[in-house]
Amino acid sequence: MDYILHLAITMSIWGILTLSLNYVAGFTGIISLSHATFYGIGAYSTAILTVKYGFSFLLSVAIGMFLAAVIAYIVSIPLLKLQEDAFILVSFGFAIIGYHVLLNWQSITNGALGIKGIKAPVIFGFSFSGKPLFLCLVLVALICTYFILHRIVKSPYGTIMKNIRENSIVASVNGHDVTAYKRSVYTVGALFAALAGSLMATFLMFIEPKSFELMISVFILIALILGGMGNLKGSILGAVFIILIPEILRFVGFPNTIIGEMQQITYGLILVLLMILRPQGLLGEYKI
Amino acid sequence: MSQSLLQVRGLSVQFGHNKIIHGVDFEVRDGEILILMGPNGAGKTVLLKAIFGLFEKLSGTVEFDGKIIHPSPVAMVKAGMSFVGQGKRVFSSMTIEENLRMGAFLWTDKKMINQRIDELVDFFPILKKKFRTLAYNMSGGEQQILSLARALMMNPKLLICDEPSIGLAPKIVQQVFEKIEEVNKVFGTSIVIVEHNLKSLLKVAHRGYIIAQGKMVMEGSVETLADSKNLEKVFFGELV
Repeated sequence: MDYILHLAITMSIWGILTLSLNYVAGFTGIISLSHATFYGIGAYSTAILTVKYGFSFLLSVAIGMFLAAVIAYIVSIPLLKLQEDAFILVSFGFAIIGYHVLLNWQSITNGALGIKGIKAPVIFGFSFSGKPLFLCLVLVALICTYFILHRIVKSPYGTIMKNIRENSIVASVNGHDVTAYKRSVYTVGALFAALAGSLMATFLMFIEPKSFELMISVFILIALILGGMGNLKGSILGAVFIILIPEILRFVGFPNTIIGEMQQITYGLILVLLMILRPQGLLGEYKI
Repeated sequence: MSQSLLQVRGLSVQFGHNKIIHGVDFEVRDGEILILMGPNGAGKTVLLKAIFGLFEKLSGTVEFDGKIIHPSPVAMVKAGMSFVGQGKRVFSSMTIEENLRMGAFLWTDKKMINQRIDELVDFFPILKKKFRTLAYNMSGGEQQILSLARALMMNPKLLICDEPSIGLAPKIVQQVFEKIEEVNKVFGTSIVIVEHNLKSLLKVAHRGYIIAQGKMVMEGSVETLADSKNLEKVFFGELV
């Protein structure tokens, strides 16, 4: 039971993470490989503020989200001047910088040793210390994220996002400030990625830079493509699959020495097969 | 003589170290159809995109409807200018109705938007027939008409069309040009067209410019420009 709860919590947190990237990449067409950095900013903010400075959980999450949004906004100013391929490459670069900041800014992040002793969330005196209670908390966060993003993408603002994805030049000549829209979308996406990071930090009670390296951004993108870009339900499905695949591989009987590599090969293989056979993913509306 | 609607003075555009447009002066008068001609790579599209703010200008001024404007698509649309670009010009996953609504996104009055849609579908009957069809399912000519209609949604004073005939069959091109002429007559919209298909367009245009290697080399009435010797000189690079 404990194992199932662990998986359900991880899937829910990854659900938030994949939804946030879907908002940016699936609905607006901004294929970003920097999402793990914002996920890390949320996780580290909560870890540092609660462990070192005794902040409350809610306040640390709010600060983490705010910080991620501010950094995303600032970074988006030069990044979003670039088009498609160039943007992907530069966002890749930003993810590498983010990882090395977490690894080398030892006075704040504790470097490669990471931060341990992160306490379970306490909200208004109520502690979410057990896995069943923590699952309830992440499910509430997942449902809220889903409905907020659903509301946005179904609004006139969401229609403009899809227009930009489909044809940014035509959206621009219709009188929309495409760069301003993209910047706001990128910022909101980072905000929800940071929420997922904060939850993951309090769930695992330990974080290290490796949890937010470039490959994590790639895995989020694989989850998104697998579930389907431009479909919110698809993001949750993609998150479920991305967490379940390594668990299934455990039962295949690969030797422990190569199981990590086999997981990565499997993810790569899935991505290749999807791009060839079903580029829009399982439930997607949009293909790269 | 008609009043000046758009006055461009000394406009230059540079990409990296390459100067594409060299201090061009350009004028569009109220109510006219103006043709911009020139060989491939002359800078026609770059010039129009720079006027609309899709490319950053290096120098020069753009005065529209009596006001100096720093070109940006938002500012130009708000001022009353509309742009129909080359290539794929519609949101293919949206219906005709939704595409038209996109053209009036800066308007908030729904009644006014609905009224304008009614006017335009009456003007372009093909859109009425397929009103709830996805734009993806329309032919190239129909998509061109749709992009024209969408550009007219906010009743612009000036419509810029960049090669509207590209990829269309000759018969459809003729229909598109007839519609462009009708737009000018019925709505009083001034129109600037960049076009290679000169034979069809010279019948509908009032005045024109010839651009070559980023410089304006000739300006005049359609009759002067239509003189085959002048056109030959431009296209064979003798008028630069």
